[in-house]
Amino acid sequence: MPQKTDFHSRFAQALQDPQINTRPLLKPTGTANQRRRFDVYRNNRAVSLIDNLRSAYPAIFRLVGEDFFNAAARNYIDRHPPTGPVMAEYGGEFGDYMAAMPNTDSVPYLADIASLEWQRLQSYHSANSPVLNINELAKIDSAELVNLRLQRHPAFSAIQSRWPIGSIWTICTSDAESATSPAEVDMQRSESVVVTRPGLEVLTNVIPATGYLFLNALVQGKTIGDAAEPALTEDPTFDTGSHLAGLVALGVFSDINFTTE
Amino acid sequence: MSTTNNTRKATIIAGSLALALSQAAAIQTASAGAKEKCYGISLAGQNDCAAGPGTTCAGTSTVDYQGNAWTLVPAGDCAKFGVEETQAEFELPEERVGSLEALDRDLPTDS
Amino acid sequence: MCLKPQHYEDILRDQPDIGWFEVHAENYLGAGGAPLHYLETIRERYPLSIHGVGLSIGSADGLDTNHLERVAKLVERFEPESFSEHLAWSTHDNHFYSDLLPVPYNQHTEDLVCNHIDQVQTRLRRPMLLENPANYLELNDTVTSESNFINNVVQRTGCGLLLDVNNVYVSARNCHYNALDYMKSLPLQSVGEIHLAGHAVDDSIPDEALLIDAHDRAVSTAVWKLYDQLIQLTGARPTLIEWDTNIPAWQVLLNEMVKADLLLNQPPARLAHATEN
Repeated sequence: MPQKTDFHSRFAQALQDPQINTRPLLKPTGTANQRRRFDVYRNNRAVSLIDNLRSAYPAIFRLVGEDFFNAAARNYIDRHPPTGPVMAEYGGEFGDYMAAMPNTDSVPYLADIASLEWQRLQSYHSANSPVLNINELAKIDSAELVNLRLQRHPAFSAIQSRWPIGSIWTICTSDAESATSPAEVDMQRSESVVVTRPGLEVLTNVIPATGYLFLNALVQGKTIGDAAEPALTEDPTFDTGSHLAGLVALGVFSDINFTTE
Repeated sequence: MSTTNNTRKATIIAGSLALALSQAAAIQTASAGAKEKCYGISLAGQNDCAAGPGTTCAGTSTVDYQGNAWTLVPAGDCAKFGVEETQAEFELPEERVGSLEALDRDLPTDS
Repeated sequence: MCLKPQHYEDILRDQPDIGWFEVHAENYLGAGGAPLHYLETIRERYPLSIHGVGLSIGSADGLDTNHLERVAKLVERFEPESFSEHLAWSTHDNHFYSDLLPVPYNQHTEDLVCNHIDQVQTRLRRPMLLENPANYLELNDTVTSESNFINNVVQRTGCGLLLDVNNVYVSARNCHYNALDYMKSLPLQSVGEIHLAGHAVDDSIPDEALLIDAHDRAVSTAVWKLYDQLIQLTGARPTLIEWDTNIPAWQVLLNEMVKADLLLNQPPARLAHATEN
């Protein structure tokens, strides 16, 4: 690719590559250490983007430590630079990027924790919508209820992990003093985590695995009756009503979708 | 799945719905405003409104960090979760079907 | 006063006697949730100014019209007293550099900047304020002075000036010129708002301290003095204390504001004055 020679392109290239000589861009003044002056812009760019990733991923920061986090963020910024100025929208691939790096075998849950943090951030900024009230469902005859579909709430998302990501996330975002020791977490346990925002506050909850099966079918647009099938197959004692009431209380749904089959 | 089986399942589901929803609605009416949690384990963490990343129009006096991530290893202060090399490949245990009680028991309690 | 998420609750609880609040547009472009909720609640009680940090007015590729549209929607919704942006660029080739990068002062960039300001003002249906940059170096492509450049832009576009006194001081020290002379050469009748902030000093090289516009501490004595000299020339103007990093307790910020009020020698400046010119 031919080098672009306009001012903006040359300045931008020098920002990204510290090897580039900045002298041709600058006035030949008597000032020593022009390099240090140009570095102010390099520093501002790198440090502000690293800081932004750090505030989007506080648990990941605690998991991998400052040195690793900063270095990984530095690499990520070069490979996946932001395309727009809204920082709440930058960094969605950071977890996967980190998880693909060597030396991360000791933290195999990294990508899942990062997904959780990213989902929480998206939930925090997502559109406002009323949540479905349980009374709306209680009014409806249960024979009709099984044929209804529910509308997912815009701030809702869920993630199923083979690791206890809810427990790990909690420890990594709590004060060191009050937190449960990481050694107490049963690493054999998988966890399904639901992120909701019924008001202004983002809620993070671990739900049972069968509840996740049910939830997943519901948000795919299945009727309540059909959505219960996979969970009932897994566990014949699955209590559809309790799970539905629970999911509604968390703010997973915004409304009843009255188009029945 | 046979039609009889389906009908039976539908009856079970409908029965469960009728009971649980009326109970839940009653609980909600009785404790309107109270933070009643009967499903899911609320994780304490930073459940407050952390604003996440934001912009600034200021510069920084911090110097760009240029460590080599390809040679560093993760070493966070909460990384001691005891995952061993072999566990990276482990499969989900069969009994991991989950129930409310089982999950309740061994999760860290909210502080 | 800058509005920061850390202080939402303090402000709503105490309802301090503050002239107005300023927010960065780019922090309020989400679909909903807490930021917009608090902004709405605070807007019901106080005037607002919206300060953009990402329009990249000095960009070579044309403005990001999608971003301009989002900012315009925010401005329409919150009806701020003023909208301001920087004399700088931050986006090039679809890549956001997350910093306010310097523009060389020549005819080509003057045309670029004027076209972009026209585009913003047309879309927002109001004049905008343009903020002077903090300079760390001088560009080879520059052929005229910054104040000439700004005078031309203000004259051609009818935009106002957001005069950042800390930026004036930082630039003058870094590039070795007289800060007061520089300010006097600006179109001071167009000043609609003033910014004050603290700066960091990199004195790693003896006799060649480099000042950095860090917004991470209290306003320096020298900048207060320059501000005092400025308002002798312009009269009272709405003044904002910027503090973006190491954000202090609410009370510390209030104290900084009281200092500015004492200098203005009148009750907290009202932004209403700003749009009159």
